Amino acid sequence: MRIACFLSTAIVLTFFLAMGIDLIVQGMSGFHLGYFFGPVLDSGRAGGIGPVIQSTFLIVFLAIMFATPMSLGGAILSVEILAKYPRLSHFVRRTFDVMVSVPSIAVGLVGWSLFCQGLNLGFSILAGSMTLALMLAPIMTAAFIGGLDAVSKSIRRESLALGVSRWHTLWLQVIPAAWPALLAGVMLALGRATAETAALILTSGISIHPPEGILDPGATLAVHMYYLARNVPGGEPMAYSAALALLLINIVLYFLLSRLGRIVST
Amino acid sequence: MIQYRNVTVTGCGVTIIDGLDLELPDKGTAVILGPSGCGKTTLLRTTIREDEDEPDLEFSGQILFRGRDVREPGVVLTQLRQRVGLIMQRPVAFPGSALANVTFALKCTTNLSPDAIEVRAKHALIEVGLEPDHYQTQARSLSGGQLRRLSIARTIALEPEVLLMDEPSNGLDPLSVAKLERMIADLAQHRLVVVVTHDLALARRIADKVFFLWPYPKGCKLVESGTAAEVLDHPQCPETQLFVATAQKGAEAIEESGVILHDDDAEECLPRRIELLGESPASTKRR
Repeated sequence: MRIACFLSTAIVLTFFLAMGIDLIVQGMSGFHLGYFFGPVLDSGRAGGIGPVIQSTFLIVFLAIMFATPMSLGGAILSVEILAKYPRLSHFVRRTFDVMVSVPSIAVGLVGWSLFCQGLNLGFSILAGSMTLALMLAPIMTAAFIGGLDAVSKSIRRESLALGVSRWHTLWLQVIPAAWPALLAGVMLALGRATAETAALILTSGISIHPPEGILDPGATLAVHMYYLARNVPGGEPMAYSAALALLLINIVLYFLLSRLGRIVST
Repeated sequence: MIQYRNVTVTGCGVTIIDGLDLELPDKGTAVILGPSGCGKTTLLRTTIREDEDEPDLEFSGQILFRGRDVREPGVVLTQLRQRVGLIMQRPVAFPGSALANVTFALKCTTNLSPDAIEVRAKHALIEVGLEPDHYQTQARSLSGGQLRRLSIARTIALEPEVLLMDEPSNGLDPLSVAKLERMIADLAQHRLVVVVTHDLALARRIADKVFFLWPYPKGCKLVESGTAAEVLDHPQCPETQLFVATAQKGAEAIEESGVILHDDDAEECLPRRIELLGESPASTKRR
């Protein structure tokens, strides 16, 4: 049993290590001074990824901003408001669980029809971020529900027994106690958001120009990577560089948010 | 001060409390005694309508506080809970310092200025005997006895008219229990303190009035009430006699009584039920 556990962990780690080495070896060729901030040249075969990074941050930031309140609302509904109605709460939770497994291309299609066409936003950062928010909301809600559930029931009971209202108890005791888990949910969503392609190709478009506003189209790093690998002859080395950049950004974000989580929880 | 009229509580389809009638005095220490799992805690919880947060619990009957039914539509739950404070069996620390634990409810429920809140919180901490050295200590790092005192301070800072204490001596060493007893005596000078316990020695020392409950197969009922001397030294009912004798002699008392104790161990969320079978000492019940 123990050997099987070691073996399975070793297989995953070896694969991850091999992927990292491959990315570094193949991706380093495209890295140069100013790669992260320079313009995209020759359809991405040369230059940097400045405009793509701008679009990535805008889309991901807006998506998280849209998804966080929606997800927190859903989690509060399931854990706190529907606590007296366990069957209804169970139904809402299962619904969110099912929504997590909806393919992103399906969410992309809905986003395209709803935001790009319905709201006449066309291919835009705003349409992309709203679509991405719809995709992230169930993931974040599930994580937030876990976080709120993990807060001791006794804290709620003690606070309510002191005559403190349900909302004060929620905002001043339960949510602060659940901070680390809520932040973990945001981190999980960030990882999904930066890696998403299918839903964004259909909604935010594939643009390598710097966005002037959120109504402009824009490509995230993952979309740019896909575009270089599939549509630009000779673009594979730069796709590797973009992948390496994305990995580095994700690692930095992970450590920054972990640090923030520690600061908040102390 | 508090009257329970025909109070019945059911949970998971089982009757926990069965038509209980009980009247608590206006002041002093009232001790509610009974075997573990007989529904004493449930009774306290229903007093501040905590049962409403549990989807499995169903309540019927009336609980009157100063003559008014606590479940009347006009009664504001948060105000009721400030007037009738409940101290839990296993108190938990809120995040933050001991002082912040006490100021929290004051900030949320009163319009006092920050200075007045701090003064009242410190007064409550002094009243429960927590040293000023502990005011800025993280509440979660306090000892069990200190945490219980902090929990009492959190509640008395709101100046409740009634204090309900659920198994206050649970898990405390004799020295801490002695301090607690002195504190209860002080608190009971100005208000009604209701202590739920199965600790006979504690009841004997602090009680002005004792109410003895028993978990019958059909639910918990009041068996006997009176002063501590009446109920504990001269129990009239077989259940009280058995309980008092067992506290003194252990299992031997059950064998001597000639009864068979049919004891359903309480499962999670179900009440405990004890049935006395066979010959039991016949007596008149004092109510």
